[in-house]
Amino acid sequence: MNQEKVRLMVVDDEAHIGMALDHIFSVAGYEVKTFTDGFSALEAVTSFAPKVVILDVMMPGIDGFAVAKAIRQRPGLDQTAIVFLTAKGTLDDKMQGYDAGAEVYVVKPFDNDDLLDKVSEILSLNE
Amino acid sequence: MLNQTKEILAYSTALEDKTKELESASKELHDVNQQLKALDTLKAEFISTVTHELRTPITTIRSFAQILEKGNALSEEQSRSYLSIIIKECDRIKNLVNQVLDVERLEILQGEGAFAVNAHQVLAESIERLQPLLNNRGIEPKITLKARNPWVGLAEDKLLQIFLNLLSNGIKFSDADQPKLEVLSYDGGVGEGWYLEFINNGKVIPADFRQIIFDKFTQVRDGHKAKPEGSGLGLFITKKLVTMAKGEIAVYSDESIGSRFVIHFPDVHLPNVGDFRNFEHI
Repeated sequence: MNQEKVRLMVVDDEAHIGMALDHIFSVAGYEVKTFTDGFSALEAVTSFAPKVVILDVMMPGIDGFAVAKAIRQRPGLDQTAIVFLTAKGTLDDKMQGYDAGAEVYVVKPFDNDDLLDKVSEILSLNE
Repeated sequence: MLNQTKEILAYSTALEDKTKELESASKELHDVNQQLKALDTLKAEFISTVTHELRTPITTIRSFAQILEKGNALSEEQSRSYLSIIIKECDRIKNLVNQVLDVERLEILQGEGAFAVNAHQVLAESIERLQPLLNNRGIEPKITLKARNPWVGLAEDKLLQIFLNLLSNGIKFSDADQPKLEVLSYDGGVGEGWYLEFINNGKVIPADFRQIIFDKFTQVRDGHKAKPEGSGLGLFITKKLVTMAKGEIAVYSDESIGSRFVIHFPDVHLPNVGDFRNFEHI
């Protein structure tokens, strides 16, 4: 059976974290595209149409909350799940994340398996 | 009766004076209290930022270590590359911790100043130390030293730190293809101290960023590129040290010059010794 891979977008200005996520999700069978800033991610998000976007919050130019809000307003992306993956871990930060349209909010540092589980869980809920 | 009135008047004046004194003391106390509150806020912000800055390398280390632990689907080349990322991120933590300790030390060392060092000598030493970095980027710095009394009232290791910070910044941010670095010293007017400039031909630093460049944890971002390496504490420490030497530092940046960090050092009044050249400590 030749199943189409699930598309996943990573947006994090820390290149090494992007690399780690690329590895983790590629090995788990996802098709991954990584970006180091919100603007270039927003340029590519409509055509790539990912099932999941993993978003950092503090990034140059446009922060993750604004990126999430922009994605939420894009036609054709209503099935795209947004996962925040950030070092900002106060309750206020989390509330902002959910208000911006996130399904999941994970505080760094994260456990690779735990993150994989959360993403597959959110995907099965969205199906 | 007259005497009594006089006495009452005298008491009344003394009372008024005392009230004024108390008011002034109370205002002083209020001001100190406000300052302490502001310091508390700054400290809390500092801790929160340091924690955030530490989380990032820890995240990378943890994630790659977990990947390596599983080991499946990893080529030898990948393993090596992931290990070298872990080492780099460990160094990042080490540098951050060192710089945080430097900041703390600076708070304690405020007011120290019973030194005088020859800045030209210290500059030569800092350039020597950075030679591998300079070679790596193919930079031959242009050094023009014209200040006649380049003395700075600061311990040598601290002046060295100022120069290392500014020079390594210059190396890091100078033009990617044709990097240029220039150091210039010259006298101010009579009794007006002397100047030292560090110039690189990197991208223009935006005006809004120039305003906060000497604050804690600010880093120049190059467009939409990933976060630059460094802790964002270098220029904060540099300014603190320059201030300790009773100097000032400013940054100028435009298309024609690139970026120019200018330090003004006051004249250091050395005791009457015959030969300044070998002068080290007062």
